[in-house]
Amino acid sequence: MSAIDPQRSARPEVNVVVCTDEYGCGRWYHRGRNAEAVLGELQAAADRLDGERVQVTTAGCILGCTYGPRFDVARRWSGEKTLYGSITGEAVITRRGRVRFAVIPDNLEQALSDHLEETSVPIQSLGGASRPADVDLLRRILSDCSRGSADPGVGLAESVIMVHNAAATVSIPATLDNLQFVDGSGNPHPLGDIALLTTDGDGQVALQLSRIRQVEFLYRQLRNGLPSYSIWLRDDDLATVYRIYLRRSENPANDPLRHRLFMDLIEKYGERVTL
Amino acid sequence: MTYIITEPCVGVKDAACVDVCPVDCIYTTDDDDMYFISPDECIDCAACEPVCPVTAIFAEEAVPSMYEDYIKINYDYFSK
Repeated sequence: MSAIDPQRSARPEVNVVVCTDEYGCGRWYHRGRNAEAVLGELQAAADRLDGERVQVTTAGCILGCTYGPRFDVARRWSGEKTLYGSITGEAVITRRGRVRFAVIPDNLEQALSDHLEETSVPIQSLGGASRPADVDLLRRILSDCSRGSADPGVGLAESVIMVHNAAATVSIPATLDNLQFVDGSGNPHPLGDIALLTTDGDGQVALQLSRIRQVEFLYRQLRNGLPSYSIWLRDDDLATVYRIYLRRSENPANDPLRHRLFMDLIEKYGERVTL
Repeated sequence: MTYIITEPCVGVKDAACVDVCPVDCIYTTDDDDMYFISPDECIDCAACEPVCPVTAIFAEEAVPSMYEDYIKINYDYFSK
């Protein structure tokens, strides 16, 4: 057995691969940046975040040229991968099949920090800690997830809710059908600050809406070819506190509708929403 | 051309290469003691090379002489 290079023994949480193919994507500019500029910004951002948690490397063509810089972010801790380019939305790429692109954001340090398992980036970087969270917007997002956008709509329905704190994660099978908002006394109220979801065993999961600062919709293709749909909710410290993963529907006919709804939600709100 | 995984991977199987590979062309099984790159699927992007913590991955024409046997081992793995 070989010894692991001590210089690189810290297993990064996130690997960033930047395409620097001089005959392809790297020659074009997107919002004033080419591959070299993006690479420089990513390396600087990785150093500031903590060089051992984020590893930025270069590669030749990684497929999926979008007429501009391209990079992939692999979250090693979750097995998910995000493809960044000069477009947003779905595309079909040779050998990679159908993938979803996110447009390269202006703030690459923020983008990288969002991929870390637990981020320490303070909320100030999102625009000020004193600003109250937009609870109305979060209510609308959750309602759309629950009821769908059509009338009568198919909601995201069967899911697994993962609740995190610093020491533990709990996974709870639940449905998004029975979303309810309640006030501090537990009484149903359309403008209540607490969202209640019913679990499969008729239990309930309560979510304090005012404590959520960011919502992210993640659609990924897993290594086994199956799609993965998840919604990540983060708190003031941008630590993930609540995740909702979709399960397969008990009615397979609903799965294409749920896929469409998930894509519509991304279209409507964007992949990442700051509240 | 393709990339070849060599002896330093044996028993380590860190899998960083698997995570970054844009075309998912790196394979193993629980019974294998290392990873293998499919020469037919590899797109020669080199993304896997710098992330390997044990410097086990080389371009085919750059495999050190002491690891040359692994070129055949990699090819043979996919011709079973």
